[in-house]
Amino acid sequence: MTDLADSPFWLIAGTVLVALVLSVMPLPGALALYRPEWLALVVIYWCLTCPERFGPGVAWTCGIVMDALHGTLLGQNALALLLISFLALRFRLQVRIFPIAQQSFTVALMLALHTFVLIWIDGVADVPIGGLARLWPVLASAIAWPLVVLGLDRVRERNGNGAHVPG
Amino acid sequence: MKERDEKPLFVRGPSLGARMLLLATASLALMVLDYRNNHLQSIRNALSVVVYPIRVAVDLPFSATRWAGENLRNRTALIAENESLRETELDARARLQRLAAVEAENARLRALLESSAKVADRVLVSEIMSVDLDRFHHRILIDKGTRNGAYRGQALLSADGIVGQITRAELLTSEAILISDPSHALPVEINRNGLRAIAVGSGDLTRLSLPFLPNNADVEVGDLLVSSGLGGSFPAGYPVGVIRSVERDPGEPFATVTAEPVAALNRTREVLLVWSGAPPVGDQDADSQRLAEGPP
Repeated sequence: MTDLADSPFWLIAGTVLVALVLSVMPLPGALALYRPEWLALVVIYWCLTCPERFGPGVAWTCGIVMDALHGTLLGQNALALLLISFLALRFRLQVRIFPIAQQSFTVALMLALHTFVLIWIDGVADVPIGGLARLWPVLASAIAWPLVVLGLDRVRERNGNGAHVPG
Repeated sequence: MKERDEKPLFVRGPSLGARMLLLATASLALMVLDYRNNHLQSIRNALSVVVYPIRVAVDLPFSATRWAGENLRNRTALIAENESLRETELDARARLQRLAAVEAENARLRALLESSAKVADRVLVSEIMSVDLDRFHHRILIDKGTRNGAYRGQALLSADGIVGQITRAELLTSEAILISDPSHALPVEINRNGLRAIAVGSGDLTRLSLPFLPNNADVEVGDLLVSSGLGGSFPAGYPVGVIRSVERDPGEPFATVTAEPVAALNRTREVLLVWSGAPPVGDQDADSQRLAEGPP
């Protein structure tokens, strides 16, 4: 993970957009069950690396757009992503220096809470909650986390900001 | 680096906790308003226009592949397809002739009985967008919205039978729920004897269950289920499914009956939006959908 240099607005917006597209991209058959929570991962990444630009407000807005895109209750994903951003911002200094495996584990914990919030709201709103299969994306996201970090770090370096800090 | 040093060491404005609390309250309020039917319709419409480009972008590779598939086919394949279509059309036309006679006879008989005749249904072809809304529910996105006259509770048909109904009509697109979704129920009747039942989705695309048929109900494997039109949101008389299994356990009050939808729910690309008779007025569609969605 690179240091705290500001990333341009368009870069953040672009990654969020890509995450949104990936979240509704049709996947063949059973693979759709293991789709990582791309948007949540991107939100965590930006909260950890660029908190000046990416605060709870932006995370919340991303959630609202996600809700509109997926047709869920307006505010459902917003609340879940708000929680994610809170955790990421609150424990930013600790999580940033974790080794990547430990980071993945932390991300999995955050996403488990995120999923819990989503399931809880589904339950209150009489939407079928889908059972234990809801936990697969959490696992998939934890596996995808190193890739997200690697990819986004690379993108930021190529765009001239974020001098690499070893470790 | 100069610029960075000029930034205040501590962020001014409300603290993280305060901002969180404010936004959490906002999302709770939004959810409550959204849950209580349609208070946020205008916001939803605006947002649906915002996310429309994303939906189109996701759908684009798939529709492009389809377009290429249609445009880059060779002559012989096209001729063969044309021929088979012509045969099918001839067949359909022949059936239609008989249907016209039967329909006229039906209208005459209804006139004799002084009951109101069925109004012919108006349909509009709509395409399913390749957008994966939700992996846990059977919901689809179609490319027609309120701009095209779609409304909440409107029935969707495919060439074979009933597919589902619209749950949210937005400006440019609409969301629909398939009849196989566990939260969907559809009033049906058995075509052979007019026995009424409710077909509830099972979560499996190839199975519907009919939970409230008593053990002595006259239902057999192979019976065709058609929509009864009783809930008010589905037009009457369209095929829904075929009974696949009937299990009668003398210890249970109800038989375990399952049916298979006649429409290929996972293979359809195009669906028909149906307007049956007069469009619903005011909140009537919401009421009728509530009727159609759950057994009382």
